[in-house]
Amino acid sequence: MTGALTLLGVTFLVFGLSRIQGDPRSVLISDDASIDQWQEMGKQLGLDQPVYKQYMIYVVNLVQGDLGTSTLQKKPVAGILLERGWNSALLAVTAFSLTILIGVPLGVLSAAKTGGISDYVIRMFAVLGQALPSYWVGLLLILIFAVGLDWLPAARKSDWTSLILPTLALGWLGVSGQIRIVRSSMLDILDSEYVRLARAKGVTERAIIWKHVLRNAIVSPVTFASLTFASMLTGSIVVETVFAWPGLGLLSVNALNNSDYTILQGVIMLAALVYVLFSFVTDVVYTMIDPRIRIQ
Amino acid sequence: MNRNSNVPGALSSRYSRRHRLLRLPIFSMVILFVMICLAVFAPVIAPHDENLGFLEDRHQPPVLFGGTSNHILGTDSLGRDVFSRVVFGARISMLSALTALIVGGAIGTSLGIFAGYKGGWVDELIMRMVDVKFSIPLVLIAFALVVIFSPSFGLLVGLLTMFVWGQFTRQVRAEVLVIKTTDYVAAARTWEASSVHIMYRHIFPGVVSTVLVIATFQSGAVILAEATLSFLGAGVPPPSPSWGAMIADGRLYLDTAWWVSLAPGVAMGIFIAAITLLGDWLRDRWDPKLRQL
Amino acid sequence: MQRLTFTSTPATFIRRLSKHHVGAFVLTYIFVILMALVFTAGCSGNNEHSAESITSPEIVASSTSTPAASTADAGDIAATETPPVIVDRTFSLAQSSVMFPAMVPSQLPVGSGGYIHRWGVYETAMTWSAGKPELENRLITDWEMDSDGLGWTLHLKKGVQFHGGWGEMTAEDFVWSFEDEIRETSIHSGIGLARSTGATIEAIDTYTVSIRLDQTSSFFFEAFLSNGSGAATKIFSKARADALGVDGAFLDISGGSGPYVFEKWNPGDEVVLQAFDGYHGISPYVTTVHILEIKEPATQLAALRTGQVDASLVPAPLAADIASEPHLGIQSFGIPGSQRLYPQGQFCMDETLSGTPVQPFPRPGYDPEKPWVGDCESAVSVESARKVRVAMSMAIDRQSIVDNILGGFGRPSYLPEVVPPLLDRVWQDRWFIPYDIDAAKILLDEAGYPSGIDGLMRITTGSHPLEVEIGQAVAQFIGALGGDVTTEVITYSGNRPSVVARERSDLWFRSSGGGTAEPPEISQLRRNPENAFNPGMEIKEPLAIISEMDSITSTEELDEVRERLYDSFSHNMWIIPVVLADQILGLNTDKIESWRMSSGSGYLGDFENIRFK
Repeated sequence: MTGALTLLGVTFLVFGLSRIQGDPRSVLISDDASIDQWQEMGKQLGLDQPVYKQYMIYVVNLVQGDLGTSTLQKKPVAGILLERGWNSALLAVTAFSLTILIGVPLGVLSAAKTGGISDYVIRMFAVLGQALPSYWVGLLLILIFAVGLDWLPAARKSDWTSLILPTLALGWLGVSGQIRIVRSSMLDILDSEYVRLARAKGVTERAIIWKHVLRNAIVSPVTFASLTFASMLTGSIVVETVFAWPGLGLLSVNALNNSDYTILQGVIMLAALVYVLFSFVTDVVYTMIDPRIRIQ
Repeated sequence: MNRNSNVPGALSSRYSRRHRLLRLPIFSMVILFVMICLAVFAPVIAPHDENLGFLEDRHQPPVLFGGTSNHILGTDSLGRDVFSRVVFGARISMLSALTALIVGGAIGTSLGIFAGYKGGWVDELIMRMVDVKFSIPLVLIAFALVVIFSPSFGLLVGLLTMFVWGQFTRQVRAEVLVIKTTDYVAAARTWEASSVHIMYRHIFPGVVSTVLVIATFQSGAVILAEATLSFLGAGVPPPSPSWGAMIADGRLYLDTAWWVSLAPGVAMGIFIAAITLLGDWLRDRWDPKLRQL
Repeated sequence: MQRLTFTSTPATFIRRLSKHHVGAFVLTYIFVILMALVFTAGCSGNNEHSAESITSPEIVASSTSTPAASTADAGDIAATETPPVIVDRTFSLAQSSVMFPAMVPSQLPVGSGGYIHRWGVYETAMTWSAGKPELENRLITDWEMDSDGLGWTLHLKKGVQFHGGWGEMTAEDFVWSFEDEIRETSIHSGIGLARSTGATIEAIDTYTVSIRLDQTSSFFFEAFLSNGSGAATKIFSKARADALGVDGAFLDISGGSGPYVFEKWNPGDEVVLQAFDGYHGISPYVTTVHILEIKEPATQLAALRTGQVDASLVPAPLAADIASEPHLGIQSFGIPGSQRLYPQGQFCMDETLSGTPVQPFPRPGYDPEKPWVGDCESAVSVESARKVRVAMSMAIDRQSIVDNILGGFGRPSYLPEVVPPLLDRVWQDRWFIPYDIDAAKILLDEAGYPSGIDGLMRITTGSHPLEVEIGQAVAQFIGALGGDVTTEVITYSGNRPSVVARERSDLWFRSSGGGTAEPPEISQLRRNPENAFNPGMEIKEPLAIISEMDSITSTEELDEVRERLYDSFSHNMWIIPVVLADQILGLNTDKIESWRMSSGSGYLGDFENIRFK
């Protein structure tokens, strides 16, 4: 229910945005066209109708699952999103795995060895990941691993090797966030009385860290992870642009450059939907991890 | 509340791990202090006009890489002094982040207090707004706006404000829900009519620490967001330097005139790192519950 | 609420100082510096190259800027070469944007209109020869001009097969393609010219077509019948349109007749072309072409340097570096991109040349307060404004922009239009604008602006990778006159509605990626003030001269009018030309022997003229 309300809010925003976003005629019509033709085309595109009517039509279509037809490509938006969404999902999944497979262990290690050299190295890695713009990191990666060392392809989607660099560029920020959250959540629990109690009872440090502490500290990281995943699915505009990765991000950049309203609306709606969905999934996961939490 | 074990001497004689973390991040503070000084005294420190160069001086390398001491960090593609631009860029980057944080923080905090205190449909409405904020890809919105409006400092600050307010609202509301149930607020409610007064007098002080911690963390994120916006063409309009704009401008020459984007990149990296470490410390000190930041 | 209490005093703060954070910082620093070193180590080779490159560009530039000379002999080789049997030759090219298919003549938007024939999939009646500024027949065998000079008769080539099995090309297809592109709701680039000349087309017999105009036009033939511009009439199969309907044909990529067939068109991602085995001319040497979209110029270069693509555009300042890499080379192609400054707001016409009142008048962007506009009613003020424009123009050190930003790959521009190779005979230094800041200051003084002029300069983006850099340099030069020139950057499409509405009165720096056969300014000004685009000026004098051109057919007369036009532009500086930037292509020279491209276009194409080593 709250999800539906959120989505309704998003439709307002999306619609408003598309109306101020630029005139598709700017891209379509030639410099030689007369002013009359300019207006004629506005009629063709439905730009002459009252705004509230345009909105109503939009929402009604949306509810029926019709995302509209691309202004320029004249293809249903849903189909285009599906095709591109697949590529974005691929990138998001690998970057997300990185977040889990690297972020969580490093976070745990960092917390377990607080104050040690490994803690500093890991923290530094995490802090830096949150301090450098991802497009810059991406270009550096290309220069080092593609141009300099010639190990990996510079751009575009081909075989699995082409996934590595974009994954690193996209994943570093997520990994950094995950490390920091796992670490601080763990430290919290490590200080709690029941861990002291466990220690006193002679439970090994390893068991304490992995069994007792991580389990209890996992709620914040789970929230973070799921929302990171949601934003990676749709939000990798910059990384996709740098690596020419044909996903939703690049699609929306093109849609913007070409003033293709409907595609942009589609991408934002999809992003909102994914977010709402993941919020829900997160809540469910919570109750699985910790039955004390109830879905409200 | 049992997790708040950072009260000195609360539990054990054996100092907790957390305690070790509570040492003041003096180095971060020194770095921040120096960088803020650079920004504040930019006109005094910068050896050249940050916006005016000579085309003939284009892409001179830094002094350690064969350049002259006239331009210690080299020059950019229009022959402007990179060091001067980094110094002035600090000013613009920090100013835009600070403005966005003040405006966004004020809006977000007010909404959070309001939502938490009033509850009911007000709460519902505000929280749905927050959900909307979090559910849309803001970078896309920013890019959309910039296609139609030409970028300006005002637009940049507006976009960054949009970027930060929700976080404040969410956390502050959660805090307020707790504070609302405390005895002194309950007491105040019985004898004071004005809810504005209660919110301002009794609730606001309770969330100040939370707000400050969020603001510290967000300032790093905001500066990073500024860089991303610059990449998309939504940053400060040229010729004004900001770190993000300089990194974006220099990216074509990463290979040949690497100093143009490396210098602001390093400055930004260090600044965000410093402020993040400071934020860690502030959080551990004041508000350990804010794990997810 | 223990959280609220400050448990530490400053004294305890200090007691808790730690070296640990210093450690983290030192490591961060080391990491960043390491990264910097990896960089410089990786690039040290390039730095050496860039040192020697200061001298080399001229050599490279001069050899490449005259494609006619360097590649003339290659044409003979191509002609005598026997077509390959079954050899798979694949070529890949990075482009910053591959648009989307829109395969109905009337629905071709400005951008993609040029691609589809430059890529060799759709064809026009005539084409520019590779390397020579000459038109040669493609879909026709012959043509003649009607005796009254108001039309042409075209004799179509026989046996031209359409892709996708849509049959042989006849006059019907020719007529349909032309009529569709000029029909009422068309958005085709040539629509304005076709309307103003009252063009009609008719099939005489199966292989003969007649085109008639109701007034003479010196531009029509070249614009519509050659492949030089986006306005070119591309011939589509009529049978395909009849079978599929407009919507179906829009997305259908068959129905062309060129050496290449569209194999795949993924908008915003890639286009794949395959050699067409039923082609009516010589089968192309390269059998498969991948056109890959890579938006970010830095990534494009990386893809070129790693060999992921065989060719990509190279920003001028990096051209020398690319050329110095062992397996890469560069060449210029097409017409250079024009970079110019419009002093907007000069809306002085209350009626068009033919006497129709201009609506609305005065234009919203008309601002007599702007130093470069002046009061249209006052001769004194108009003259002051002229001096201001000339002063601005003289304050720009064009050669320095060419040398420093373009790395030598370009030339100063003194005329408000790109002069295509055909017109090189009238080009040049006759309209030379000196870089003379003192003279400029004197002019400003006379005009009443002794302390320089303040103004906003809008730089529009989307056409050229260096537009913002050059625009800023121009602003810097004009600012050197003493005033305060601020800049604003906006996308071309974001700026365009206000241009159509004649709302602007500031400076507009604009660049174009590459020219077209028809000079852009001339074509844009022709139907002014009725057309959608306007560079911020509606002034009778140049328009009157331009309109004279319409009724001229002889080259000599045309040159004479052109000279008058340029004199007028040069004296008044209605538009301030800045530089012409060469379009530079980076090539994998390990693989590619030559790629001759026809002159007269800003688009990459002519893949059939690529030869491998």
